[in-house]
Amino acid sequence: MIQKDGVVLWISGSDQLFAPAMTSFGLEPDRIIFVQIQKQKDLLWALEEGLKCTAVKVVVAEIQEINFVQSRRLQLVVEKSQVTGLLLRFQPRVLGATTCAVRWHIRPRPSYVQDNMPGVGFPVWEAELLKVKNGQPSRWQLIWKQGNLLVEQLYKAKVSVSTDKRKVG
Amino acid sequence: MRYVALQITSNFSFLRGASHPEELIEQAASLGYKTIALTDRNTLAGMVRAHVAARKYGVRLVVGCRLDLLDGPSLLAYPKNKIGYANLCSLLSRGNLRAEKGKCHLYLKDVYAYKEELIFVVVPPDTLSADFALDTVFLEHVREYVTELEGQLYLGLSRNYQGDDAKRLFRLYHLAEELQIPVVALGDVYYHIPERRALQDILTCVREKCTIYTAGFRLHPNAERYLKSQEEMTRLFMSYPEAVEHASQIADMCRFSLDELE
Amino acid sequence: MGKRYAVLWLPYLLTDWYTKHHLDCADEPLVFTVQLRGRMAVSAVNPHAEQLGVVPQMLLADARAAVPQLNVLSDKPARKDKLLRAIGLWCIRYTPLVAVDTTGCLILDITGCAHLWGGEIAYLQEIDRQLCQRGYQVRSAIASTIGAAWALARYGISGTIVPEGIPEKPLLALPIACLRLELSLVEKLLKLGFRTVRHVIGLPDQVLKRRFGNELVQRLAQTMGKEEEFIIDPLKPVLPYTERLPCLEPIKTAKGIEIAIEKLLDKLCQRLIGEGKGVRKVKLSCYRIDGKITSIEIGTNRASAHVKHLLGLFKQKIATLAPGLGVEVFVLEGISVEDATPVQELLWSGEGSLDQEALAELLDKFKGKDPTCSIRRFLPDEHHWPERSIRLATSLTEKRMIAWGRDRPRPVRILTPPHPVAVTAPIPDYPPMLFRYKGEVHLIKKADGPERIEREWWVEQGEHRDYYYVEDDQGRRYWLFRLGHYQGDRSSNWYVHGFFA
Repeated sequence: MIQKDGVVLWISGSDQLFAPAMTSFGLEPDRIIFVQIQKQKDLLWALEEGLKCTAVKVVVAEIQEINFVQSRRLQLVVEKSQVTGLLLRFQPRVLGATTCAVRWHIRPRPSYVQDNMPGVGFPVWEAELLKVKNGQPSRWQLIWKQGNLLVEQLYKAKVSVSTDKRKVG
Repeated sequence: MRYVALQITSNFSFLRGASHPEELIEQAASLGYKTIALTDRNTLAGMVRAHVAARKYGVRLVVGCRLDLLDGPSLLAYPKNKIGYANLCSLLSRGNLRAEKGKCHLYLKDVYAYKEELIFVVVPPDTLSADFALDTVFLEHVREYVTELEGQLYLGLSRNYQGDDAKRLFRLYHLAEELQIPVVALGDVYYHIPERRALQDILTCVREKCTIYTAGFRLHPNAERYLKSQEEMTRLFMSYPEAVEHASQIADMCRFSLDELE
Repeated sequence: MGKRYAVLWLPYLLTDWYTKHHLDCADEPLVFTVQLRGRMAVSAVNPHAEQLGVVPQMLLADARAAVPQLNVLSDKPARKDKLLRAIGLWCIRYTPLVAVDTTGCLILDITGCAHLWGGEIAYLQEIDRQLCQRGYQVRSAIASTIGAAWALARYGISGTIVPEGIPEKPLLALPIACLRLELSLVEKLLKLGFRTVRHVIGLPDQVLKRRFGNELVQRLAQTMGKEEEFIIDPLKPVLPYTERLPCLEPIKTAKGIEIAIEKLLDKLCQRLIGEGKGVRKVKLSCYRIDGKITSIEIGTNRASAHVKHLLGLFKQKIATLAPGLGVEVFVLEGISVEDATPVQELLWSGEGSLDQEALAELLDKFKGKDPTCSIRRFLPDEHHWPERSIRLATSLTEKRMIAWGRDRPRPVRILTPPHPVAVTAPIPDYPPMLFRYKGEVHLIKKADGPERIEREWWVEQGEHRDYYYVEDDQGRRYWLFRLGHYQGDRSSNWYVHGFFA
């Protein structure tokens, strides 16, 4: 996951991100620079520029749509600059083909409660690996516990492209 | 068995409590309490005033003290009788003599040396770790207390309304079960009515030598540290009714009164 | 290098202006009139009228008598001043310091400017030519003092350029009025036979002072450079970090403009670097050949003296410039200049540490592309109240003073303001059982709370919030709160404040 140092650029169209929440994932919120851009076109441009910038460790961009040509452009940039790019796609109309290296579909799942403790437990998500180079698509369960992400493979499933409304995570 | 308020800090705990012993006793009486304790921090200075007020308002006062130690979690101590009271006084003297004027330095060994005829309650920690567990250092100390203060020890349960009460109580209760010590419901009282919160905040600022604007997290996020009614306290510990019972139990055991000193 | 001044005198300003727009009047005698002590008098004449003997201050009746076919126009007050100011502002393309003097001349401080046009001769010729093209007759001169330039422009041969040094020789033959003296003093001097500068120049100051007062002595001193005289009231205040670039051929293309900007930036940045400064706001003004001015402005996050970076920011905006038929002078002004600290300290130590420059430049690019975009960085603030638990960092490098809180659950997304929801919850303060949001009912399976946060009474009054961290049957996690206590018969106010991952 994201390392402990370096700058993270988070580009989105909304201003709802709440910095303190990042600590629960081991991130230092003051390392994150939040950029809010309204137009999708400008967002993609900003993403590309961010990926080119070697001063940035990771760029997270929340976008709705991206087509094959656009993703290929980004892939070329990333190959040169070695910056990690994470695209969070929310409510895509069509999950078309892109050239990304790995594609996940993340869903929240009921939290993991230990020892029958009352209340909400450790957050859990189901991550469906839709696409990976030289790998099989499969499903994993992710639990954030004690500062670590525990991963448990659920089962190898056939790829089913889902257009569920998903929470960004 | 009705709830008894066993953890009360008056303004004799310098710059911590925001109400006079008289105000606290009067409020307790008006809420219908028949018995109430006073547990100022490392001092019995407010006990005389409290005793007089208790007589005036027809409430039985349980003498007590919160022992803040330099090398262990805090303990509430209640003398069962005159011997216990003498021990408590000696214990506090030890601490006073050791330190500069106005301060009291107490260590675990002092407590163990003067423990006879006293009932102790472990003051529970305010928070859990990020993975919902009790602090390991705290756990170690409690185990030691169980050994050293066998038969005289209770584990306190408190609700501070900071979001994780249910989890904290769960953990504490299971710890008590594991260690086979009884639990007791506490309300960490610093003022007699919620409106005194502002004053308590200011006292904190004076103590911390900062302004109200810079005090930040040194101030408590809410105003729950007021003397609540017995009904409310019973409701707050609905899941652990025995904790409420044990409060009465302790009050029954600790019948020492300052009258016995005359 | 000593100061150099150019003075421009437009003797027929008003009538030239009129004639520009009414070419048919060009060959006829023309005057402007104004009310003077209750009677109509002539305020301006054109060359034809002048030749026929009409002069300013003459009564209109007399003028008409002398020249029956006179064209008469009424003057508006301050029209002449306005015209002069406008021309003065136009002259700023040649030098930043331009002033209008009370006698109706333009005074230009041209120190350090002429070389851009290839020397003072070419410079003056260019100005004269441009003004002529616009229909104005002009007499001009350059000298080391305002007084000398003025004297030569008004009374000497137009186009005179006096070399550096005391401008005595060319002035000797000029009439005494060229010293910018009060009319009464001029009359007095003439009566006494002091007709030209030569007559007064040799006399000792004491004598002149005694007989004619301070004014004559002061003006002589100023004109000869013994006493300093500056432009006190320029038309536009001068920004110190300004570079100008005149073009031999007017520039129309984006590429051409880019090259011009780069040249200007080279000069500007060189100076800034030398002084250890950088620029935060830069403005480019383009003076078009049709007289209009078009400009663009850029801003940076940190003081920068990087040509490439600033050029990049300008490039984003070149498309908004309208060069018209061509730009003849570019002026680059550093509007906001600050000390630039050398980029040595790193924001975070360790691998992958922040390169402040590169990051700042990236963010500037974002702002340049979309000025409405917001770039924010947050630091923790010591407040329990969630909206106040963070504050905006003022810079990329500001360090946090306290640690981030880690022991309370906080949502990844927060709604500002919180959205009302309908909730079913056991009274008085147990966690909710279900809530309805955006038409969907969420059954709550797990919940933590209440986390009661009171208002910070020293900041604001109001009800407290009881927060609940809840999870529905599908594992979606929300941050809800109830405002205030449960109130019995009145329904409580519940809100959703945020969403967890």
